[in-house]
Amino acid sequence: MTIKGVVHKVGDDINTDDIIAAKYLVSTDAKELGAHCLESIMPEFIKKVKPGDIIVAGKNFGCGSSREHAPWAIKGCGVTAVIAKSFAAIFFRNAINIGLPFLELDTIERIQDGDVLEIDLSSGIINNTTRNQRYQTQAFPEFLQELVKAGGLMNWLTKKEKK
Amino acid sequence: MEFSGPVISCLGMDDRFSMSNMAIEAGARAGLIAPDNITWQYVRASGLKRQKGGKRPCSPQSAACSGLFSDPDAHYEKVYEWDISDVEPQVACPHLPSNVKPVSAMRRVSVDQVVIGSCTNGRINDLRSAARVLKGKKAKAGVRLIVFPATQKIYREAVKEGLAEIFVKAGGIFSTPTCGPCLGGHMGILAEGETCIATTNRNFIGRMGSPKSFVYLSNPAVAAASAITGKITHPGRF
Repeated sequence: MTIKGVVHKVGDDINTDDIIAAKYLVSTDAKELGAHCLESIMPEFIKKVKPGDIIVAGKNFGCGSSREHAPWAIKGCGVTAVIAKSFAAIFFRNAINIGLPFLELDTIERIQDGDVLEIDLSSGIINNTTRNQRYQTQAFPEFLQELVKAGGLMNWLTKKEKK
Repeated sequence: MEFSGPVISCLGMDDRFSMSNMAIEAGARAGLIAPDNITWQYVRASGLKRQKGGKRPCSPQSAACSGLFSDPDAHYEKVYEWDISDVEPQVACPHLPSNVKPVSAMRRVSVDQVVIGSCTNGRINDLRSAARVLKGKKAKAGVRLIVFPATQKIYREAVKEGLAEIFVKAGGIFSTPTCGPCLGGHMGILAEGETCIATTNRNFIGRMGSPKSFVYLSNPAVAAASAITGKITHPGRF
């Protein structure tokens, strides 16, 4: 499974209040939440982000409240993958459950805002086509790829039930 | 993340819950404390009955309960040890729970609002600790004092013990349990430029309202003392 998109770089310790402020938690609609993704710390992000784009972050991405709205907002604004130095544990699991691939990479400094990346989830290889660089991250397990393809755990279960 | 040592084994369950709650802010999935007699007393007092023929579930020797303890040969990623004999109360400054400074270094920080309670520090011992400081005192004019227990059961206890009376007499409001103020949901939402000291768990940008407000985190006694003076204050003064 391959993902290709343009990079938006963010810093360390991006918490779930940054990703989606509590005042928007009245909705569970991914599109509606996505329209306010990262609004309070990077108001320009939502104007720049396009479907298929990729977020590249520093350490401890997704710290704070484990509100599921946060990964929904990321998915809802069109982002297809997040690469970070490290993720907060409870947030990581939420993202997998809604079918949004997260990858850990140590050398995120080599990636710049606006670079184009090609991620091969099966091998864990990331190609930076802008800089002709290649990074190796952990391969995304087959089962998790299935979850991503199905659009998350609940969809995966529903499909399985129907079979 | 597991907590242990002579200090932890002296802590009551209410304090242990606060520590376990905050472990998430340190990146942990859970904050574990091995069960002991204090745990067992808490379980009994909460009305849970021992199973027929069951043993006290707090002995590492009992086979039925071995799952409640870390293995003796468990490998820990890292082990940290602190001597806290001389550590004064710590305050987390904006905008990260890990951005901590000793309370005595915070004397110049004025507050518009004091929030005591929540899932993190809203148990009966937390409310007692705040009430000891606030008894017979008034929150400074212009400072909003909001107290809310973690559960309905604690709410009733606080009313029965007269703690609610102390908070209201001090000029505060005593609310039913809610997530409201902690995440800027409702009640005490901070306006631009306002500062709050709270016993909640997070102080990220915009957490309690405006992205241009400031949240400091502390224990209930520090928060209570700060309500009286209108500045971040060591509770030893009262």
